[in-house]
Amino acid sequence: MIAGATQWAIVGIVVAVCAAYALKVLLPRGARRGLAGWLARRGFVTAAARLDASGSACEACSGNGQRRARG
Amino acid sequence: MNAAVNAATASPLVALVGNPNCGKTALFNLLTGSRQKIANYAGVTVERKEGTLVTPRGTRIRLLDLPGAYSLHPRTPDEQITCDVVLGRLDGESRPDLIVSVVDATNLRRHLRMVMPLKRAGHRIVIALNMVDLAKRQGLRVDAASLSRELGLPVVETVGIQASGARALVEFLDASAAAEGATGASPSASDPVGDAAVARVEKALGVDAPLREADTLLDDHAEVERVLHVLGLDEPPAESPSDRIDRVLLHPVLGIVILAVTLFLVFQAVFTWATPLMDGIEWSVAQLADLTARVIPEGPLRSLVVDGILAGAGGVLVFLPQIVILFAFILVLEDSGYLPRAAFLLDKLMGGVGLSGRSFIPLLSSFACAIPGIMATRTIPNARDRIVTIMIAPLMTCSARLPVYSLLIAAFIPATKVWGGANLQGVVMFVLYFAGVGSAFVVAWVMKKFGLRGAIHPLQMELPNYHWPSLRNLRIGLLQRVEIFLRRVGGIILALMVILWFLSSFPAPPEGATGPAIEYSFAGKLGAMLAYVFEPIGFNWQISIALVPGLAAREVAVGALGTVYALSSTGTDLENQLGSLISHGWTLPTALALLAWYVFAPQCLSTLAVVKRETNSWKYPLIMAGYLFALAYVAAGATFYLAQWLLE
Repeated sequence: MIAGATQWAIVGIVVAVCAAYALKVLLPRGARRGLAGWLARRGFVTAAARLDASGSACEACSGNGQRRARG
Repeated sequence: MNAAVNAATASPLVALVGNPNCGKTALFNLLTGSRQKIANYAGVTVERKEGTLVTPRGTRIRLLDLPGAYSLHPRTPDEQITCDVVLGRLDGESRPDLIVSVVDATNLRRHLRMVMPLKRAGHRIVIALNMVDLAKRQGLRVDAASLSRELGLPVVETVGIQASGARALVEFLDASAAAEGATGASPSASDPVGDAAVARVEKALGVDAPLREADTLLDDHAEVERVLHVLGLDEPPAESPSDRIDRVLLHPVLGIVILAVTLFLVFQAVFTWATPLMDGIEWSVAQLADLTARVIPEGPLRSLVVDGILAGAGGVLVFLPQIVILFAFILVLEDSGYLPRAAFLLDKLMGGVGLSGRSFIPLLSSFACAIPGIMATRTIPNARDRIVTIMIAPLMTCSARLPVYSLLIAAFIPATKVWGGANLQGVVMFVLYFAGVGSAFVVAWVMKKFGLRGAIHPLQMELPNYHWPSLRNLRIGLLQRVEIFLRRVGGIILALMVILWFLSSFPAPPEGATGPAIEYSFAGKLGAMLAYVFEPIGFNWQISIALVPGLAAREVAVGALGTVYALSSTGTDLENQLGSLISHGWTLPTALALLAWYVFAPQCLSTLAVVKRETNSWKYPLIMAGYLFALAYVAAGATFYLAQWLLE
């Protein structure tokens, strides 16, 4: 059984991760790059690189499966 | 050969170039292991695609799949991409070291014309004589050695749809790369193409002198006729089985009837065949919720999993079978070669509202998702036709609307038999899809009448030969649809459901509160505010909340309703599925109004972003969002009051 405090901790992490993910995929490309630059300037280089390289929601479903191939 | 990711920039660059629908992408998939979409009609590829081929000797070759082009005088945005890559004008891309000129062996007269400008451009070229199996079946004997001699170019035979169909091409590329390795660096490294070189090529092609284009084409035509004469292939082709089938399927009256009946049967099957599978998934999700409730004690985590994730994302997952069945039919129609015929049949109708038959394929792609449909408008040469098609593409019923329609139809429309056995639910679905098509035509007509005026351009479209759909293509196409759907359910839909659960659960109700907790939450307060806007058209506050995340992706609205109702239900209600909850909680006019809303539903944000990218302007996405919201609001309101009046 999961204790009450643990439940709150798990819920907090899940909600934060989901909010960050939704923000990432719903941001337009320009805003995503801007945010990535802002993160990079503050030392969050890995997070910035991931954000910059990630696709948006439209890219995820675009192309009717014709995602840009890199192999 | 292997697929590999991120090719080294020093690898030789090879581009697949040819007329539309000659099998470039099938070859590309075969060579790289990619799974790019292929279909039996022109204009499927509208972007440059890149993959890596590792040859048996271990050489890595960067392979480009380019949109089909009829010449190096581009008339459409997708042809422009091909022209730019071939001429080395694309930013960040060197000129290809080798061109694989893909030609359809069953139609050499047209396809060889593309080889001539490539030769003039000074490229190293190998001819991939594709579809040789089909040519043999049609009784065409194309002698590859003679063709090679006459063109002065190496020729290899290929069959893009067979696993071993590219063996000869791979051997050629391997030997070619090895020879380059023995003599020095690849041409891309030793002979970079600067502006002066590009200018020389353009001059040779006559790019700066359009008036010379006609003369060049005539010369190319004469050369192709000479080659065909030498090969003994200059006789006009006999009537093919496709021609005989087309006498029926392209009949002005019978053809339209067959098209309508085909689509009607598709929607019947979507509803009838999917039901057992949907019931199975629904039962599984319910069992999982039950198990979770027993394993996790009462608290926020249990509520998150049961009310947020399973009621929300699980509620959307249920519609996977319907999406798979719908796309199975669309893929079969695509691969058989029937879909371009549908464009031909509808050309006259579309011409009446100011569209050309060219708009058909982009609009058809929009039934999957408006985004590929909008991208497919790159095949439309006329700018005005392209803008109108982009503006109406979102009115086609995308697959994201299917869950919303299915939920409401299953909840409010009885599964009775009408018209001698047709399922009424399937009939309503068919009507909703055609309401989208009909409204698109009306909007196109209005734009033609009052806004984007322009001449009507006659349809010129290649009708491919019919062939049996490839099971491999069908499998790949369906797996891609399943993957896309599951990624959405497990990605953005899941994330939004968790956020919505949070907004619907907090802050907690004050002590002594009597109503459901959600009424005191952020989402409840937002819903109460939105209700001022949506109450006049019959929507309650739960629907109003669900419309907001529905802007990210339409099917999220179903998940949002699942979460909102799970959180606002009593203990007894929780045992019910969303369908039965709304069928008891809503009136029929409200359900019909929501269906009408989703026929026009304001676009998801991703579509608006793609419209901005494709039109390079904020003007069109803003107009699109505005007119769709207005249409949706008016249609929902009119439906609500009309239904109320009729049911009084």
